[in-house]
Amino acid sequence: MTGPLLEVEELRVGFSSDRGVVQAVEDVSLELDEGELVCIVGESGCGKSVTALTIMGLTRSPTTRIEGSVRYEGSELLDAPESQLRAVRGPGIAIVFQEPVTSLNPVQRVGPQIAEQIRAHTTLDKAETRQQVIESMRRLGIPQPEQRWYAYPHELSGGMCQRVMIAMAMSCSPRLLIADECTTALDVTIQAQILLQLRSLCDDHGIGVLLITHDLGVVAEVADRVVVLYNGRVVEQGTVRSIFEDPQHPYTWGLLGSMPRLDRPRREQLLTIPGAPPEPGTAGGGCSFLARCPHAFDRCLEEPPLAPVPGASARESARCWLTPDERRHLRMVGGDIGLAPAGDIG
Amino acid sequence: MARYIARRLVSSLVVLFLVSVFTFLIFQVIPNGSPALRIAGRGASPATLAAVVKEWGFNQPLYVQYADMMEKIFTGSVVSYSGNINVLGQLRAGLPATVSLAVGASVIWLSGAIVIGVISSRRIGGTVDRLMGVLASVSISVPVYVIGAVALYFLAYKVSIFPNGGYVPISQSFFGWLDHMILPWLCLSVGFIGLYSRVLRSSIIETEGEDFVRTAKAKGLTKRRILVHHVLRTSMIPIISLWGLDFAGVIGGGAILIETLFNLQGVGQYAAESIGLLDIPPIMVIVMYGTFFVVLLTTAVDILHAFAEPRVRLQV
Repeated sequence: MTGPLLEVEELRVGFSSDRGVVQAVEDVSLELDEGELVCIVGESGCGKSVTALTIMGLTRSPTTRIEGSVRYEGSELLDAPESQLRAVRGPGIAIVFQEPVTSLNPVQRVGPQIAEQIRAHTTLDKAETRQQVIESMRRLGIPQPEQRWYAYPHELSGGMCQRVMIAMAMSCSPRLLIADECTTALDVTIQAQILLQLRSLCDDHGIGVLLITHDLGVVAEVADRVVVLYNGRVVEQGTVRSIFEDPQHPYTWGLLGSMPRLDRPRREQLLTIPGAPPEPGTAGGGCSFLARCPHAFDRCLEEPPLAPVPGASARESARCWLTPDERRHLRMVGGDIGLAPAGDIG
Repeated sequence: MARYIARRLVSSLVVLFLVSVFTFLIFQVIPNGSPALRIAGRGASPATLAAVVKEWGFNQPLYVQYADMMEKIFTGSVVSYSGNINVLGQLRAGLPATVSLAVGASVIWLSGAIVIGVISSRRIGGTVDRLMGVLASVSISVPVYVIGAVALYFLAYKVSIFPNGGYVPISQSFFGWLDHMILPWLCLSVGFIGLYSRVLRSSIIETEGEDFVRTAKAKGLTKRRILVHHVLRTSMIPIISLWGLDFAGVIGGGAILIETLFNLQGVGQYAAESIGLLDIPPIMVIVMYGTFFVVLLTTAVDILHAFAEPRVRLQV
């Protein structure tokens, strides 16, 4: 196959309501190759989940306006008929949702819920399907899968439900796995196990993984590349190394600066990003980070384009008017990367 | 499960006791309720009246009268004040018609409500949905005796498609039975279909917003499979609960209007006639029998619910 596994281009998603259109995703473009783990990071409400759902065609509704392009293995999904989407969902793209317990049908046993997907996409008979389900449960470290087959979701822990969800997502050997905050609800040890499993899916099976998270610790652990979303837009993207060591966008500095670090003396107060993200669709013209950015200047009244980072690889870009030199200078706060408090700027 | 059922049985006995006491007392206090006057007949001499009072035990204290009636009910020897006929025999005679009405009408109203509820929920706010909404409001608001009377007038009197009421036992003639039941079934079902279809519609809409339905979509299942296997199973729960109550109500003689209008000679019509005569023994029996069915069916529905919804633990 030539070209990336998944290409999202200038995706815009708006939900119309009684009070007009809420633009949840303004401008998201990203690419993902086979065997690559790309993280989408950003605060709550920045459009991460909507992007993920839209890739799978799960936001389609008469009240949703979707523009742009989502191509999976080169074929467009946004205007694909339902039948084509159905064929892609499962064996092509699979998704693991944030809330494992409510994402499983409460009135069905978990085994048949996984089997249902296999049965929908293959011609395996009941016994073969059951065998495959139990095998995939075992691979995900679900103890006693033969007995768990009969469990109802409410009889399992959150971590176990999440493994069931991942087993379900993996049951048709998808080429692309979208994991939407799939470890947020879990405790850290389970989280680490699941992240390792995701990483090995990429490395051993060549699966592309799109991991949505707001946890930079997770990103540092497993990502190949990172896409930073803010207010429905990609504000920066790059390799995990460049994002952590050479971040270009003040918002990314803020995210990194607000992360507590064990290898530094404990600060009196964690650095935060002042203010709150604008309500989706309410931002006026100009850079969407303008209101919270201590480094904003007059040019920021005009929205910056997502421009390649000079001297970096093609897939590194940022949406900021500051020059590379200014960025290198401004992002250092007390020896570390961070977003300077507004009062400290001269 | 066994403990649960046992508990429900005990509580149903308590309910039966309370209902019977209240029914008994109500007829002691309503004006013109004195049964002795009715039994003795108009213009009876004081001596006759006194004899009747003594013979029927109306001069006993109330609790003795109550105990006496309960004893007669449970030994099956209870007779009506008007006509001196065995009440349980009358009740048994009315049962086939009432059970026919309840079973047939439930089938019609449940299937009608499921079809209409699902169709309306396919395009929320669409023309079909809005039309169904209007029809449902109409069918719920128009009294059942109006629907019945209009149906009888047009379909039995003006155009004689259906018989003008009456009941034919199924053992006597299946088609005769069917012919006599269709109109009562339909008339009784109309209001229930309106109510149930709306309840199902909103239940479907609510379920379709659940995370697990999104998961089902993400699995690449067909719309039909999602609806039948994931949405409907959960959405049916409220209408099954409603059904338990309404079915028990009809079986228990609650369809008084329809039974009387179509002269089905069922339990409901018997109740209506007894109320007209202020005949206490049949009223007591029918009320207790109806109560028994309501308790029985609600227990059955709760148990069904526990099977359909494994999260529900029966309160032991």
